[in-house]
Amino acid sequence: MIRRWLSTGGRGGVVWGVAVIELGLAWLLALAATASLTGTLARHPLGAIGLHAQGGRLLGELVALHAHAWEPMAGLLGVVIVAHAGAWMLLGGMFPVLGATTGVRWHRAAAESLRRAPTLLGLAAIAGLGYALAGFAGYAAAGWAGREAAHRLDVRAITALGGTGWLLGGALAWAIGLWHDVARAHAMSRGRSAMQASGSAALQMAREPLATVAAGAGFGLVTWAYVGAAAALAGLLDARSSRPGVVAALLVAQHLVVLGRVHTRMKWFVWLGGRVTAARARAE
Amino acid sequence: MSLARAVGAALVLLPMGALAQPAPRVADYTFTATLDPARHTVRADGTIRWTNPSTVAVSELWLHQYLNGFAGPRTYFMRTASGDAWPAHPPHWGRLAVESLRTADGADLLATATHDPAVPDDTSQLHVALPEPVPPGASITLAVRFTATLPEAVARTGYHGTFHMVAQWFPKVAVLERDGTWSHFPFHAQSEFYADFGRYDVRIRYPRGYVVGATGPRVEGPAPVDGLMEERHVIEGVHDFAFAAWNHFRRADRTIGRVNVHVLHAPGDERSAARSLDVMAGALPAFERRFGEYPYRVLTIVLPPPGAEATAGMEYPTLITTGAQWWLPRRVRDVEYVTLHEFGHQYFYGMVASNEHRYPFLDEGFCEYATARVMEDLFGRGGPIVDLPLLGPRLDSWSWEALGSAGIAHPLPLDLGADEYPSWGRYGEHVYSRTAIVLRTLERRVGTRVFTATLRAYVDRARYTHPTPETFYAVVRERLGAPWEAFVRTAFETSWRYNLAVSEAVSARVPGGRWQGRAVIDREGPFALPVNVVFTDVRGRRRAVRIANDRPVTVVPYEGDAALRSVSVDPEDTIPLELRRLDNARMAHEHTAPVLPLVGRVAYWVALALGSVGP
Repeated sequence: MIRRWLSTGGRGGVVWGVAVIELGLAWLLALAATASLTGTLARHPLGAIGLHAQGGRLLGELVALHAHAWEPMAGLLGVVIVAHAGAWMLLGGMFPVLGATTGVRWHRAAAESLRRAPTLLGLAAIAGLGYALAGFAGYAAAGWAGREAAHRLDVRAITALGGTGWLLGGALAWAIGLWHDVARAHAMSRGRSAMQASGSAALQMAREPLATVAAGAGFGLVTWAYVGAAAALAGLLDARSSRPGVVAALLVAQHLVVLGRVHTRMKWFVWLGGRVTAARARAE
Repeated sequence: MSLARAVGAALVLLPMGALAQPAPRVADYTFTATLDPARHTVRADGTIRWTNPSTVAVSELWLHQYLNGFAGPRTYFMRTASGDAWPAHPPHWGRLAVESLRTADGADLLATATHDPAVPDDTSQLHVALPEPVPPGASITLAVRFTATLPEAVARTGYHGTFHMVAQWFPKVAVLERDGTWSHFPFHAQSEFYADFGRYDVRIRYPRGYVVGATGPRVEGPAPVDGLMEERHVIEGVHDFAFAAWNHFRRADRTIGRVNVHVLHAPGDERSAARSLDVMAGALPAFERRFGEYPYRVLTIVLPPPGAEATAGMEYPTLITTGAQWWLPRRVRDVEYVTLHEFGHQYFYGMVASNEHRYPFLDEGFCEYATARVMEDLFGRGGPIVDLPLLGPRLDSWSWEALGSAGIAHPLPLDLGADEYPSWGRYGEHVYSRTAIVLRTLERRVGTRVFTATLRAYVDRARYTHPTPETFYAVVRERLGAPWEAFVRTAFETSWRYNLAVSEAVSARVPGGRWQGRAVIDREGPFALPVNVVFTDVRGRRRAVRIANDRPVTVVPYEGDAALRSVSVDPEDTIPLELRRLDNARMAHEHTAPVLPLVGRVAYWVALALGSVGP
């Protein structure tokens, strides 16, 4: 069972490669972001454990002492995330190609993705529009909930209403993300244009909502389960501990979460590839 | 019968509202007040009996009408409200209209009454000329009729829907000091209140279906009167009266010791109510242990409903308002902290009734110290406010105060008046945080037991009086000695920055195989308090050296059979008023391995962020 889950049908190298690149980039950014902090902590006998010492006082002082660094760091992080998103917009066909086909080398899949960049950008634009609509729907729902809450007395009901906008907007955004994945799979494995792939994706989600939507939710849950497991482990081992064994265990667990996330995405696109191939066979 | 039982029985036999230790009765108020929730008004009539507590005869009275602070955009309150304190203005204004004010023989005092000409566009004070002087110790009784129109919830008072927090709703006599000078002042946005002790006997009438929580115990009612419900509250030894009324209040009660604690809360807020009661179950005995008896038989805690948050976090005698999000985990002790703070005001404001306008640090700062002290009593070392292991760092009450004080960029003295601080933010960081951390420093230096006894002596001396800083200084001088009096005077009366830092830690091998080196300790600021300097060598052995810390720079020599690893100054944290603790310790040589977990964890979160826009 576990072996079956771990297997990606020969696509493990890509999973490892992407995870290592993401982690490498993250480490570079983390080193840059914490440079001023680590300089201060390196002079302090407690080192990073000082962050947990003295009831948050040292952490508070660090935050205040390096207040000037937070804005440029947040800016740098924002730029890198935007660049990362841009790169994966162009490479957005890579995982669908790899998922739908066995034996394709990653660089060929990447080249195919770049070749189909206009289609992928078109899909990204449609998805962007969808996200904007989800945001607007969330905003409108929040406004309605706020007006509704003004007439309510029960604080729990008011809190629940306050979450309505987030819930609706979040659910819609998740559905848009799911649709975007399915549309990319259709575009890359069936050679469809952005508009055709959009329609095919919507049709597939409508035709087999339980299968596609449930699978999307399932794979998404697995991703979050990894994050939750790492958090639980941190709680279990006491994340504030300075014991080398605890530090090492948590670092390993957190890196496995990133690897697991990339792996799950690949599994999802392999599953989608199978569905799209079946759909193509039916159509032909 | 044991002594404890005898005392207990005597307490039980005391009439409701009376005190074991009598408080002066300078200003007694007897009102019948009718709440009209539709118009958001309280119409009241009754009497004010005022006794001249000074040594001179007076022929005038000053009354505070603080609800008029919300009478329009140009009032003194609104003019002094900085953007970060209260909203620009309430959606609906409020006011206090005194319709009749007469002496017992019918002389109309309103005809010649004036507002303070020194404060234009403001009617929060009323100057009344008396037909004849009131000699020292003599009394005058005034018959008064007035209507309080509540603003929409703002600055601790007002209404939201059918919820009404009725505070500053009646004309209240200002304090006549012993030398015959009036301590009267307009309602300032950064200031709270100052009034004399007395007896309050208030009948509150309100529509059926409403639930009322008020200052003092309910001695009659609720019973129907003229188509309304009426209940009567009587209490002595207090200097204000407030009440809350709402037709949707839920109620939770618990008897803690001899005190009946009531929580009035919105539907669905049962969790916050239970947490308030739970924390009071520990806090009441803890406060009594440290600061003396809580003499009243009742405490009402109001959790204002959503929309009325502006009325939350306020103290009135035997009635406090608190509040927090019901869904916060138990280890985020927001409701506990606010509840403790507002209850602490029953001591530092309530019984120890300093002038909150002139010396705000004597109530807010001392209360903040008491809050953190009891947080530590109840929740363990440091008094953690936030303690969520999964999120990593925790935030302790003492650290919260220390960071607030350390954040002061341009220090001011702590004994300034509330209206002398340029903004609400600067008021808060000085009056609350810095005062608390000064007191904490004194506690750390002289020991918790000795300091608790000192503070208790101050509370006992100042109970039911209007103490000034000199009252506290005198107690410190008597209990702790002149040097500590000098310390608190410097800490409260001057502006200061204080920091200790290890600016150098070195060692080198000398002939014979031993190691010699030094630590350089820099001191910025006025306090020459001896501290320990601790050398730790590379084998982990520690050696402490006591230094006088009486110079800006102290060089402490090191000698040992191993190289120096690190140096710490005051590792016991006996001077928490320092600006920074980070520079109190220093490695002889920088180390890199201990920072790896930090970088790794940041990398993890960055990787998750990147993954969210990844393949």
